[in-house]
Amino acid sequence: MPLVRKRRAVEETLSDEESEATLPQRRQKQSNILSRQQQRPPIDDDQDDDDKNSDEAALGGDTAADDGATQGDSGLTTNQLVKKLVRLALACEFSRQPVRRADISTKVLGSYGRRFKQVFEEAQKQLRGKFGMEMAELPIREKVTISQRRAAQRTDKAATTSKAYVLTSILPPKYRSVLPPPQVPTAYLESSYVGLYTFLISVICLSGGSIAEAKLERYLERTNADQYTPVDKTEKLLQRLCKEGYLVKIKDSSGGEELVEYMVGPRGKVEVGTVGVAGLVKGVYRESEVGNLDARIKRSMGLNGVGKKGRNKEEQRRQTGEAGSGTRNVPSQRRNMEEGEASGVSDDDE
Amino acid sequence: MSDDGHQYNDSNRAFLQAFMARGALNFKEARPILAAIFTVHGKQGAETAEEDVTEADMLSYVAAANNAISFFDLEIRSMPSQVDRTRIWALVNTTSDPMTQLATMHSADEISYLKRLLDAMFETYNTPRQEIMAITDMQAIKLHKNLSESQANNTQDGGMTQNSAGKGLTMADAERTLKSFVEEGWFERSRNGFFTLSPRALMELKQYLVTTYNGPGDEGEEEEERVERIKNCHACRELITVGQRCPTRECAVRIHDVCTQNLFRALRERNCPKCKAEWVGENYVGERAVTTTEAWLKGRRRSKGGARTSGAQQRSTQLADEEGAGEEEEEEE
Repeated sequence: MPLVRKRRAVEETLSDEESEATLPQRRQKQSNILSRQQQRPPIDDDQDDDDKNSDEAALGGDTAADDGATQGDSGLTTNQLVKKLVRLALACEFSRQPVRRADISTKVLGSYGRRFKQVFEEAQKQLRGKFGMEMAELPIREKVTISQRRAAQRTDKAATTSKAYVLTSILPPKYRSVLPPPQVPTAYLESSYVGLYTFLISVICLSGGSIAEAKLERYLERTNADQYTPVDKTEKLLQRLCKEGYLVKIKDSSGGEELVEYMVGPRGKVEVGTVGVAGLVKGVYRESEVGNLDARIKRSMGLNGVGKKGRNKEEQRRQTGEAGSGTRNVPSQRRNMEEGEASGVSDDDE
Repeated sequence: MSDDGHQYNDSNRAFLQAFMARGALNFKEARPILAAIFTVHGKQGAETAEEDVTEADMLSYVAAANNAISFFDLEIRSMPSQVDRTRIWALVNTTSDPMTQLATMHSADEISYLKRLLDAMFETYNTPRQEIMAITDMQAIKLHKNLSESQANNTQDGGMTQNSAGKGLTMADAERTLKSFVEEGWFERSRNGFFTLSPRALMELKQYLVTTYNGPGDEGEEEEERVERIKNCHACRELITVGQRCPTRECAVRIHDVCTQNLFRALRERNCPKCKAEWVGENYVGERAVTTTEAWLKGRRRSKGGARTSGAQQRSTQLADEEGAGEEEEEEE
């Protein structure tokens, strides 16, 4: 019983044109797969003799007519590797583990390591076409502390990709809104968990990408979640969030005393992302009550650089708020109000 | 494919995702989901009411999903509930491999506890005399320790997990785990405090149960035929863990409560289809094998549903009531 979390990480509002452009293509591909799928002969174990046929029928002549189909005689067919990869991806997602390239090599490919690209692409196609999901590569960890940066400089070749993937839904947003929350372990716990991490990630994003531990604690205290949350003890919740990659805890003792900060983790970026944060903020503020909301959200998250048209008061406030995020500035009145409202949201979530 | 005309599209994918998120659904639960999917999928403004969703719609979507996922050794199976015949669909992984063993939220200790519970349900509390196939709270929690055979008789619940080798769970953990199994829909708890496997668990574990418990018995050499601890309903051929049994103890006919009506109407007689003994309808499979006994009822009357004497004690009393043939198989292990 695998499952994928329906999240809104796919950029819907911020890059409409892009998705418009790619979607029809995708559709096209899917229908190709499917029409072929129906003609596919049943998969047997004694496939060896008709390897070539079934490979081509199932994988689609256009892309898979390359080496895979011809290598099929050497043992496991590409099809079987694809199947294993899809199952691995579904299983990993169930327990919120990323699918790592190393795992794919050992558990799926085995001695067929050279076929990674082909198998991976085909698995993506199957996931998109049949499950409405795809594997999204996690962003690489940012090098934040000085020691991390130094370590990165020492290595000759810095990793450019994380080589770890998570499953995300690629269904259009209108479908996602109607799907029920996953019942793993229970619908209540799962939706509380989703609500909590969306809230925490939003707080971090709106504080400029990182937040000092003390400040995060203060937010949790305001939302009455500093000791216990519906999911677990707050301490354990934070641990779990870090383990599953929603948050990253950064300890930096380079400056003498130890600074502990939280940032948004790779999974958080993929699953919630700026769109999720924007959604939460919109849910709190309603477009009608606060004008120009989209622009403000973008600004708060630093999505477009400093505005050219001279800063208005609001922006200045944000800027100072962000600059002082580590040092417990005395918050302005407006800020207080916002926090109050944000806590309202999280209460709903709980 | 039954969704003739239209291709496999986003509505199918959405349905599949909903299914994966829920694990198991019956028609009543699926209806609002399908209605919502139809509404967003259909033309602008055309809203599909819940009542407009028919079972045929559901079947066609299940068939389409099955068609898409069968290649990945996943399947949406359905099974009528043993009690009221409402059909339940569940997404089942048809093979077990290292790939999918990650897909659990439970620790290894909890899984081994689950195995002990299953052993108890289908071996300890599933004897030729009494096919309970269920386990009470007390019995379940007592299994918290990972006992080796030598310790098996020592089920005094005094000791926590101070024992060394087998570990297992603490009693509190066992209780919590048990609760989570119920919440996640693997077990069902009856009003009398018995845990049984839910239809979803039966579907998922069918293969495992049959191979594990219906294989040749432990001392199978002397019993020439293989032990069939888990039987199928004589009428509908599904597994039976709750239902009625033939009054003749040796006879292997078991029938679901709901199946009896149809079967006996068709047969025009209320006799066991195999051994022709009169079907009294008072011999049960499942928790009623215990709860209809005089001993149980007496206990209830005395304590008004409060703390009961342990199940083992009751069963032994009951053994005396019935023409008791030795208690060796009844007591814990």
